[in-house]
Order: sequence, then structure tokens, then C-alpha cells
Amino acid sequence: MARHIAIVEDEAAIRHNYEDALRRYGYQVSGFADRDSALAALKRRLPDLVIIDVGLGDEVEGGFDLCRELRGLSKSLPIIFLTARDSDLDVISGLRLGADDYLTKDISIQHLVARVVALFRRVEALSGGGRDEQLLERGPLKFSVERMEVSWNGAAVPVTVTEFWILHSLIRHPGHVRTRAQLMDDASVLVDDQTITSHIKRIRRKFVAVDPSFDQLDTVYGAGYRWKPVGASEGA
Amino acid sequence: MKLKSKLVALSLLTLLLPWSGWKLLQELERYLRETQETSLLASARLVASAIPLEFQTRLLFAPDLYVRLRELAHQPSLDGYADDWPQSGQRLEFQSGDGTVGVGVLAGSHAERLYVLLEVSREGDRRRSFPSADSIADQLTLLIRSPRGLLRYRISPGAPGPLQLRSETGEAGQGEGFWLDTPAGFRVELSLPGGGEDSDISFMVTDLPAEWPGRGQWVSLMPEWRRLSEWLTGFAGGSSRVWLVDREGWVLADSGSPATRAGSLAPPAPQTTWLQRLAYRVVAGSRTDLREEWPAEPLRLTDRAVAEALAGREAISWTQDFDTAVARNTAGVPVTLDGRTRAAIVVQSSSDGLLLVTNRALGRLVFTTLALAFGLAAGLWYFASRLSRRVRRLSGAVSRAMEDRVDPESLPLRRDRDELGELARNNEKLLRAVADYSQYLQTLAGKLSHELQTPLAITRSSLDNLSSQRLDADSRRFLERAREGVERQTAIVRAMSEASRLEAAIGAAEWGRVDLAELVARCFAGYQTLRAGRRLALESTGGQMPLQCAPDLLAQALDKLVDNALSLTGPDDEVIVSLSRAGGAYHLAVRNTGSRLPDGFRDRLFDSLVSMRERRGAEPHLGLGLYIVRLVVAAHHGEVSARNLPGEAGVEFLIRLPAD
Repeated sequence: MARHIAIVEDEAAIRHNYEDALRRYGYQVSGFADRDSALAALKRRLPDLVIIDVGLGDEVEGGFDLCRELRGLSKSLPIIFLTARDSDLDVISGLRLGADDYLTKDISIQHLVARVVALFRRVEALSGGGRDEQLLERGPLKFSVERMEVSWNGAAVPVTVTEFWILHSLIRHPGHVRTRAQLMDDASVLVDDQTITSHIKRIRRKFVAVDPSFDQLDTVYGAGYRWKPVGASEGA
Repeated sequence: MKLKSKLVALSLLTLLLPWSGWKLLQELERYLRETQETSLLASARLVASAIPLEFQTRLLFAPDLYVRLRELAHQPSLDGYADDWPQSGQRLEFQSGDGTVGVGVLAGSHAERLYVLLEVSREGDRRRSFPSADSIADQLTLLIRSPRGLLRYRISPGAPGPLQLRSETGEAGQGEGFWLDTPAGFRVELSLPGGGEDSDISFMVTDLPAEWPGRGQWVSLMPEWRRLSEWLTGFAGGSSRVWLVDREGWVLADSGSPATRAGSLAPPAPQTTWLQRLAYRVVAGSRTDLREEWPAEPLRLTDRAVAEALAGREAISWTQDFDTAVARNTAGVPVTLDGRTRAAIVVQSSSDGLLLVTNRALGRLVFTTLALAFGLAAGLWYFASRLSRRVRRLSGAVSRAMEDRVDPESLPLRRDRDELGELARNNEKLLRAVADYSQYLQTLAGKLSHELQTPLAITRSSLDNLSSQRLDADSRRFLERAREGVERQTAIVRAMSEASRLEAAIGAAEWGRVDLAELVARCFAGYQTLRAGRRLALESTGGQMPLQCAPDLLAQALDKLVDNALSLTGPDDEVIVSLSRAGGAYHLAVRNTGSRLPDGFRDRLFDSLVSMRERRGAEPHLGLGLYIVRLVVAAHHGEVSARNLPGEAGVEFLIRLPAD
């Protein structure tokens, strides 16, 4: 049975384009132009994934409200935010809306589909399990590529899909500097330096929330970032 | 010239006030003088023409040679010294024909006795000249002729000391005296019978080789003409004094000083301070001789006016006593009898009144005008410094407000009601307008980019969808072109929103204490890895450079400058990052060879959306890089500047960061 994706986007052209693209990949898609109609329909039947635009018509942050309401309906429903503004990303993170990923609208459809696929894979892995896990371990860090789960000292760190890929790119070569451009490629986000910086900052914050002494994400000024192996001395 | 200096210079003009007052005062004083001179001369003429016939006769028949018979208030002690004689300097002098012997004569009367002091001086010491002439010692012969008879004394002491005199011609001639040798000769002081009234004396100094003066030359003893004095008193006014002097200036009659005249209404001598005296000398000094105080009872007048009058001309002179500051105006008028100037009438007025008037007027004038001038100057100075301070405050505030174009501080003085207040209000309006405009410009990019995102997303998603369709080669080619265009638009939109996102990032940046030297070194290591093949160099003075900063932002600013330098120059040009400490600031500079800043734009180089690149590359360039640098540096309270290095050596961008 095809997975059901709901798109809430007030801009009809974008909505239709996304709908068409996702249908082409075999998903069942329903589009909604505003919060009320979306909520009414989604209450009747929850989709497998929701893509929400932050600004819905006159409601500048209508997407946030919708997200909260949907979280009220289901804790596990995967949600992707679409936004035209980078600053919204901080709001999403700061509000702890429980979004599973957030994307800016300048993302290509291929990238969008890749995110959707990644999210479904995570959901599958979480529910089904079973398969051989590709598990990366870096000291206290456990990194499950299949389930897109990250834990530090046994405690789960709730990273989004984008953050997951950035982190993945860093820990594959511990101690090596990854430039911002490399991180962008690896995480399939076509954004700029500034966005990478804020992503790194958010990842750091999430780890620090679990372990206040976390200091593994190192900024290499002028170059990029690196994962400092635990126990390695400064500057190694 | 500053405003304050101008006003102060202007206020100095008020000092012309006392100067003109001083000139006026001199005029006034001169006028008062002239009035007084005229009246003084007039009264002198009147006196001269009104001398009673009796005295005219006496003047006509006055003896040729006489010595003034002083009325001595005290009996002089017979000791050969003239100290106790009043005005001993005023004496009759004789000189021998060859000039080798001189005799000075003083005569006075006291208590019916005649006192005579004779001083004989010679050139050279007689005893040394004529050591063998002891037998003929100094000898003085004195003759006194009076209605009572003739007395003759021969004075020839064996040794200096007291003398007893006996007349050789009569019995009633007992006298005494004192002989004193002096370095130049000798002095004899004698006390003789008779008061000396109507007497003549004659004396003879016997000396080798000659006798002198010649025998039979008589010197009259002339007492004051008392009756004439009384008559003159009638002419002397409240503050003036009248004399009749003979051809030698000897006083024959004296009205007496105003202070000593009985029943006089003369005002007491004014009490003047040294300041007033000085003031008077300043005003009238050039026309007033300063001289010793006049004796109360002068025996002989030597004033300039007197000398002139005795020479036959009317004259006026002004003198001022050195100590008492009394100014005297002396007028002399010749008394001509029988075609010859026989005597002179001298009228003198102590012009204390004039002095006082002058002083008081001067004092008031000086005080008033100086007070006014200084008051005015102080007022102007205060006004000027206040004005200048206000202008400076306003100008400082305006230039500060200019720096922060986004939110200019409110200006001082804008509540003031004068022109400066208006200027401040207008300036504030202008600044607000500029700030609004700057704000608009700066947010324009962000807003535009946000608005452009949605249509761009539509285009891109449509193109994405289109590309998944089955397309022929031509359509695919067009699709690729469209995609290329969209990518460029996307890059533009991203660049446009970068600045506004950076502002948000500055607010959220993490601050900490970092060693700037290490930060720069690490950045530089990054550039070396990323830009291998380019000529890069790091100049650092070494040592720790602790700084409270946002390292992410500083690194980003440095990135921009290095990027800028690298992208504007070719592979052969060198880019140097240098870090040093200068005073209380760190200097972080990026220099490169091979490029040059265009003239004229330098002030706006760090503004948003200003690009001065002459080459147009494929990448859109919106001129935000240096704007970001400015934002970062401003967040660190530093400054950034750019300049062409001297001699086409390249360009330097300099960031100054204040050390804590």
C-alpha cells in the first residue's frame, strides 16, 4: 500500500508541483491550502507523513500551530517543515515542535524526495527493526545509520534528518576537518555557510542538553568543523 | 579662528573705552590748567602793576650787593657748622677775580643779635703751598656799619676753636664766634651785637699773595620787606602765594603760605594715595616737573618761571612735589622800573584741587570703564564659550549619529528655542530621514529575497517536475538553460539575505575570551589548506592577545577579507595577514599586492550593496562581504578601514579591535 503524504502549502503552484513529484515517486498525496481544511481532513485519517509550510496564507506562523495540533493527535507522526526563511529554523528548534526535519523552499525536488525517503526509512527501522544495523561507534557516541538514531552515553539525542547527515559526515572521519561545502553536500542541503553554522550550533545544543560536558564538535576557524575524538588532546 | 576667539577679540575692542576716557581726561586736565594759568598770570600782572610807589622806589634804589638777613627762629649754636641755619644752601657767594678764593655768606638775626657765617674756600692747601708763611696766618677782617656806628673786627685765631671778639673801634662790640678749619679752607660762625637791621657788612680775607675782596666793598643785610609782604597778602587768594623776588631770585617779600596765613580759608592738604599720585602722573606727568618739596619759607626762588620772569618774560611752570604729590603752578611776571627788570612778582598756586578733580574723575572713569569693559568681555566670553560649547556638542552628536545610521541617537539642544535648537531639530529630521532610508536599503535585500523565494521555488519545482518528463533533446536543452537561470537567481537571492541573516547571527553569537593570535593562526592554517597554490603569508608579533569576542564572527570577517583579497588578485600576487598590538588595540590587517581601490568610493566601501569590482564575474557580486565585515567589527566596538598602500604597493584592509 502506497504511503500517504499530506502537503499543507498555501501557494497552489508549489503545492501542485510537490504533489505531482511525490506521486511520481509512488506516494499517495493530498494537498491542503490552509490550516483548517488540513486539520479537518487529517483528523479523520492520519497520513504517514506531513509536509507543512510555516507561513499559511495570512497566518505567518500557521504552520507551527498546525504542527502542535497534529502532535496532539499523534506523537510519532513524521513532520517536515518547509520555510522560506532561515530564521524560522531557529524558531522551530527553539519551540521544540518535534519536527523531524526542516527544509528551505529553495531545495530541489530530488532533495525533498530524498528527505522523505530517509524519514520513512527511519520510521520503518524504528517499527520493524530486524535488519542488520550499520552501527557506528565513537566512544560514548552510538550512531545507527539505518534507524537514523543517535545516542550519547546511552541517552538518545533527538536529531533531525538534516542534522543526522551533518553529524554522519563529521564522524565518518573523526579528527578530520570537513568544510562547510562538504557538509552541505553530505547532508544534501543546498544552503550557505551561515545555515551550516546554525545547524552545527543546534546539534551542539542537543548534545549539551544530554551531557553538559560535551565538547566534541570543534570549530576550525577559516576551514570548517571536525569531530574531536573522545580522549584526544587539543589540536590533535 | 574659532568662534570663541573671535568674540573675545571683539570684546577687546571695549578696551578702547578706557583709552578714550584717558584721552578725554587729559583734555580736561589741560583745559583746567589753562584756565588756572590764565587767572594766575592775570593776578601776577595785577600785583606787578600795583606795587606801591614806596616799594618801587626801594626797588630802584636797592643796593647792588646784599645778603638776605634771615629771621632765625632758634639761636644757632656757634660751632662752625651751618646745619642749624635754615636753608643754608641759599647764601651769597663771592669769587675772587682769579677764581682761587671763594666766600659764602649767611646772615641772620635772633634776639637782637646778628649772626654771620662765613665760609672761605681756596684752591689748594695754603699750608702746603706756603709752609713758611705761618707768621701771616689766615686773617679775616669784618666791618659792620649801622646807624649805631662802625664796628671792626680782626679775626685771626692761633688755632681752630671758639673765639672771643672785640671791636677795634668801639666798646659796645663784644662778640663771640667759632673758627673751624675745613678741607678747603675755613668756616667762621659769629654772634655779634645789634640785630643787623639797616646794617651793611664788609669783610676782607687776608691771604697771600692777595687780599680779597677789595677794601670798602659793602654788603647790605636785607631783611624781609615786611610791609610789602603784608601788602602782598592782600593779593594772595585762597590757595595761592605771592612773592616779590629781586634780580637774583632772592625773596624780598612773601605773602606766606596759605596754610600759615592767619584767618586763611585754605583747605587742608589733601590726603592722596600713591595710586592717585601715580594716576595723576600718568595723566599729566609729561607737563609737570617732579621736584623736591618746596621749603615752607623759601629764601630764594629758582623756579623756571622765576628765571624767565627775571629775564623779562612772563612765564608759567608746573611742578609736583615728589612726596606730597602737591602740584604747583607758578607764574612769574617781571617788574620793570625805569626801563629795567628790577624784580619779579611770582604767584604760585598749589593746585591740589586740580589734582583731586583729576584724580577723582580719573578714578571713576577708570573704574567704570574697566568694570564695564571687563564685564562686557566676561559676558561675551561666557556667551561665546557657551555658544561654542553648544555648537561643538551638536556637531559631535551629529557626527556620532552619522556613524550609526540605523538608529541615530537623539540630538542635544533640540529643545532650545534659538537658531541652534532649530538647527538641531532640522539635523535630527535629516538624520532620521537618512536612517530610515538606510534601514530601508538594508532590509530591502532581506525582504526582497524573502519575497523572491516563493516564485523561485515555484519555478524550480516546476523545472524539476518537467525534467522527470520524457523530453526531446531540444526541450532538455532549454530546460537546462532555464535551470541555470534559476540557479543564478537562487544565488542572488541567497546573497541578498545573507546580511540580514548575519545580523541575526551576531545577536545569537557566542562570546568568549579567546587568544586572538591563536584564532588568526588557525584561520590562516585553514586558508593555506583551502587555497593551496596561492601566495599567503602571516605576520604576527607573537605572544598572547586575549580578547573578549565572538570568534565565529571574527573568523567570518577575516574569511571575507581574505576571500576578497584572493578573488581580486591573480595567482602571482601575495596576500599577507598581519596581526599586531598597537596601544590599546589589536590591529588585524589583510594586505594584498596587485589591486587598487577606486577613488571616490572609499567611504562607502563598507556599506551594504556597494560593490566596486570592475570585473564582472559569473558569480553575482552584491557587495555584502565588506558590509558583513563592518557589522562584525562594529559588534566588537572596533573600526575597519581600507586604503591604497603607497606607491601602487596594493591595498590594505585594517581592523582595529580595542583590547579589553
